[in-house]
Amino acid sequence: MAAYTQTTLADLQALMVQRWDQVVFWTPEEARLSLNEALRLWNLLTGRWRTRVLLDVNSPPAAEQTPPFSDVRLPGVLTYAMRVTTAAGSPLIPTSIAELDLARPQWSLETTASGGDVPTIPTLWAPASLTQINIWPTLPGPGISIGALLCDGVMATPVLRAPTDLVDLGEEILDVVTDFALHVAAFKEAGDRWRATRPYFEAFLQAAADENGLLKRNQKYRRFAGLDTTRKLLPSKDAPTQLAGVASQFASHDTQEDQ
Amino acid sequence: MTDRELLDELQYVLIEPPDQGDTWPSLIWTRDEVLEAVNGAIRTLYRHVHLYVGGVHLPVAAGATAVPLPERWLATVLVVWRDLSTTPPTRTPLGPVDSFEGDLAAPGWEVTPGLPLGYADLDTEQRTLRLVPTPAADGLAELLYVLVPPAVTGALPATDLPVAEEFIDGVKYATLGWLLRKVGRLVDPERAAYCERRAQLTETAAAILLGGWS
Repeated sequence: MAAYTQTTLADLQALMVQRWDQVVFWTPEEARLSLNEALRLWNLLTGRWRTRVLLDVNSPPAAEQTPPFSDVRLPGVLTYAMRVTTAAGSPLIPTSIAELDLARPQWSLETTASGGDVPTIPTLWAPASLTQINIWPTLPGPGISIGALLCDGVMATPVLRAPTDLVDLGEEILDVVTDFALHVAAFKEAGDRWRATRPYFEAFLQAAADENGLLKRNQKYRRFAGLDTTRKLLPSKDAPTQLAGVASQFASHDTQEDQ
Repeated sequence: MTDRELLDELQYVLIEPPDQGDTWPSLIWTRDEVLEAVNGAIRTLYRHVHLYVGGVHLPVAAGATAVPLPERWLATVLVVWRDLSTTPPTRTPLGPVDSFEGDLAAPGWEVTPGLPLGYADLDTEQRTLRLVPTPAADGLAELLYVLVPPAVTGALPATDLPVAEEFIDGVKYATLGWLLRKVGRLVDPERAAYCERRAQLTETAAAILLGGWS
C-alpha cells in the first residue's frame, strides 16, 4: 500500500530536475506553475482534497424567487459537491434536475410537510451548478429544522508558492504528477522535446481514471486517456470482415497478374 | 488565481517577458487581443458547461407574447412553466423550440393561447423569452440560466478570475489555442490542436461533475 507523504515544493522541483538529462529549460517559477497546474488538474479529475461542510437549507437564493426554495448554495470553500447526507447519517441519493423535472414535475413545490407520498426528510439531491445544488423535498419554511444537512465536497486545490510549502500526496502519484509537470513545462519548447513528453499526459489521465471510476464510465474521457482500446480493436463501423479479407486477396492477385 | 497571474503564466508559455500581461514585446499579439481571448474562453466555458447559473421566477400574464430576460442572461439552462390558475400550481417542464417548430407543431400558437410546452429565446429580440404556445393563464416562468461572467481586464489591482481554480486550465488552454492559431510568425496548428483538446478535457470533467450521476 502506498504511503501518505507530505512533500514540499522544493522536493517536487528537484524531482523534475532529476527527470531531465540535460540543462533544464525551465526556471524555478515555471516549475512551480507547472506543478500547480498538475495538482489542480489532479484535483479536478479525482477530487483529491475533500472536506465536509454544513449546508444552509431554505435561505432565499435570490430576491426574484418565490418559496419554497429547493436551491441550496454551497459555501465558498467547496469547489463542487460529491455527497450529501442528513445529520443522522441518511445519505441523499444523487440525481439531476432534468430527471426531477421529467419524472416528478411538482418536485420543487413539495416540502417535507406536503404529506402523501412525499418523504418527511430530504432524500434526493441534484447539482445545478458548481456553487448550487437542489434538494427534494425541501423544507416548508425558514427556521424549520429537520437537523442539518452535511455535504462532502472537493476543496480548492492547494497552491504552492514558497519552496517550503507542503502538499499531501500519496507516493503512488508523485511520479505521474511530476512527469505531467514536466510535460506542461515542455509545452513552450514545442517540437520534439515537447512531443517526447506527450506519453506523460496520457499516463496522468489513465492514473486519474484508475482513481476515479466515474471518469472511466465517460466515453469522451476514455477517448482522451487512450482507454478505448476495445473500441479500436472491435470497431462497430467499417469493421474488416473475413469476406473483405478474401476479396482483398483476389484484388492483390489481379494486380499481380496485371503486372 | 488572479487575472494578472494567468496573464503572467501565458507569457511564460508564449516566451514573452513575464510582467503580468502588461506588455507583449514580440508584437505577435497585442494586450487587448490576449484579454479578448481570455474573456472569450471564460464565456465559452460558462456557456458550454453551465459552470455558474442563476435562477429567477419571471411573472408572465395570460396572453403575454414576450418576457424580458435578466440583464446577465447568457444562455438558458432550463425553463419550467408554473401555472398559477390551478391549486396547487402545476409545473410543466418546457423544451427549447424556435418559431418554425412552433408553427409546425401548433399553427397559430402566438394568437391561440394554451398550456406552454416549449420556449424560444433566440429567434426574436435579444434577451427576450417567448412561450410556445402563448400562455392562456397567469403563471411563472421558472428560469435557470447561465450568467454572463464579469469581464477580465488585467488592470491593477488584480482581481480573482471568475472561475474556480480547478477549471482555470480550460481558460488557459482555450486562450492559448486561439493565440497559436493566429496566422502569423508563431502559428502552430499542432500545439493549437493540443490546447483545444485540453480545453475540451476541462469541459468533459465539468460535464461529468454537473450532469448528475444518472
